[in-house]
Amino acid sequence: MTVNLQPGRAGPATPPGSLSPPGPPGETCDADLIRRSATEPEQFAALFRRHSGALHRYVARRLGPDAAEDIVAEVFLTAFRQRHTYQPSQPDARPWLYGIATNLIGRHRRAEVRMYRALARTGADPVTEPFTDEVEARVTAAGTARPLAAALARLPAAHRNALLLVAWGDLTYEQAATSLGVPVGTVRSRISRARARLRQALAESDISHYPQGETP
Amino acid sequence: MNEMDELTRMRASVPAPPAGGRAQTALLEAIRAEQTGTPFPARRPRYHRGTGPLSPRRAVLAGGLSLTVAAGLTAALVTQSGPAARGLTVAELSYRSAAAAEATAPVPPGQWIYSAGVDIDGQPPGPFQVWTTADDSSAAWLLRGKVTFIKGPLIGLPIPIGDGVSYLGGKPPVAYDQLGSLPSDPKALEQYLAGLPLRGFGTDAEKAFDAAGELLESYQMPPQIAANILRAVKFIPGVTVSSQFTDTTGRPGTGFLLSQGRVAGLAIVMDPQTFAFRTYQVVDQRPGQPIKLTGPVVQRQELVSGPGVVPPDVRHK
Repeated sequence: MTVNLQPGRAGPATPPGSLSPPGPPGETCDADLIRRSATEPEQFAALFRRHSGALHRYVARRLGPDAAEDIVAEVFLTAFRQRHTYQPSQPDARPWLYGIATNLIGRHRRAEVRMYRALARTGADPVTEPFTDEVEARVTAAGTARPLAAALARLPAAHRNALLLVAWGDLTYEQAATSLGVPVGTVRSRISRARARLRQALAESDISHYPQGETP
Repeated sequence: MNEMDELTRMRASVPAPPAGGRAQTALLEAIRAEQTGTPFPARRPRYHRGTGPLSPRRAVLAGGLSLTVAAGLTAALVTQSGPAARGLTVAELSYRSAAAAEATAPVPPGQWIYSAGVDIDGQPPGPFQVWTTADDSSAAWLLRGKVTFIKGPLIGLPIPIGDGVSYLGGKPPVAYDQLGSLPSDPKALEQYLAGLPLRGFGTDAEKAFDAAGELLESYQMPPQIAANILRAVKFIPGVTVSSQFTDTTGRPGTGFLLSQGRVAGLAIVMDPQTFAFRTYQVVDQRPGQPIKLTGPVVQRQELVSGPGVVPPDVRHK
C-alpha cells in the first residue's frame, strides 16, 4: 500500500485566531483522521501532510534546519504512537503536535539559547544565513533580529515557549495553553511579560525606529 | 512595526522544509510496520545499555577476558542461587532488579564506557562501537574507521547520510547532577516522576514509566539511585511483568511492561538471570505473541580511559 506523505503546504494550517478546524470546508478534521487511524493507520499520513511543513518551520526557526528534521520525525512518531490518547473533542491537532514539539525542543534548550546569542553577537542568522543571499535581508537580520535574539536568549524558557507558540507557531492563546498544559491566563501573563522584554530590547537598540533595510 | 511583527519576520525568513526527508521516511516506516503487524521503533532505541550496569565482577574482568567467558561466568554464578524470571510479580521483579542495581560498583560521572554490539536494524546494519560518559555528557562513535567525538548526549546510533552523519541528541528528564535530589522514598519518587513535564499528553503512569526508563537508559547512575527508580516502578499503576521479550539477536529478557492501547507498550527490560537493566523501549505487543525488541544490542561494556580507547583484545573495525 502506498502512503502519500508529501506535505500539502508549508504555511500554517489555520490562520491565527481562527477557531475553525484546519483545511478547507468539508475536509476531514484532525480528530476524525486520528480516530480513523486507529483502524486505518495510513490515515495518519494526512495529518503529516497537513501540518509537517508549518511544524518544520517552527522548529527550524528555534533550533535550525538539521535539528528540525529529527524533532519533526520524533513529533510525528510520538503522536502516531500515542494517538489513542488524543482527545477527540479537539478538532485541531496542532496544539497537541506543537506541545510534543515544545517538550522535545526543551531538551535542546541550551542549543537554542546558544543560537540566539550567536545571532545577537554576530548578526549572522544560523538558521537562514546559508539561504539568505540578498543584501537587504542580511542587513535586516543584522538590525532588528539582533536585539530580538538577545532578548529571546534571556527569556525564561516558559515565557519563550508561550510567546513563540503564538508568534512562530501561529497558535491562539487558548491553543498555546493546551499545548503547554497551563491555564490560558498563565499564557497571557507569560506572553505579556515576554513582549515587554522584547519591546524594551528593541527600544534600547533603537533599531525599530529605522525603516526596514537600514541600520543606524 | 511592533515586536510581534518583528518576530514574525524572523520566522518568515526560514527556508521551506525539504521534500521527503527523515521525518517522512520514519513515519512511513511506522505506518507500514503497523499495517503489516511488525514491530517498529517508535522512538529510536538507544544503544548504551544492554548488558546492564558494570558489576564489580565485570569490572575485574574488563582487563581482557572475552565476552563469552565473562557472560558465561556471570550467568553460572547467578543461576546457582538465582531465581527463574518466569512467574515473577511486579513487586518481586522490582525487588530483584533493584538489588542487582545496588550491587554494582559506583562509576564516576565522567568515566568513559565502551559499548560494542550489533544493530541488525541499523544503517548500516552490523556491529557497532560507541563510547559514552557515565553522566551522558559526552559521546563518541566509530564509523567508517573514524572515531567522532561530541559534547552532549547521543540517542540511538548515528546514521551516515552521504558524506555526513546524522545523530539525535536530547536531554534526559532529570539532569545527572540533580539525581541526588530525587526523593529517596520509592512511592514519593513515583509521584515525582509522574509530575515531570514530558513530551506528549500521556497519562501520569506513562510519564512516570517513561521518565524511569529514560533515566535508566541515559546514565550509568549511582547504584542507590538506580535501585530507587526500579523500586518506584512497582508503584506505577498498570505496570505488569512480561518474560516474553526477545531482542534481535534472540536473547530473552524479562521486564516491566506498561501497555499503551491494544498493541503498543513501554518496556523496561532486564536480564532474566541477573536482573541487570538492559534497555528501555517502546514495543509492539500482540496478544499471545513474544514481544520483539528492536534496535542495537549491546554485547560488551567496559570502562576505558577515553573516547576511542578499546579494551586490549579489541581492534577498531
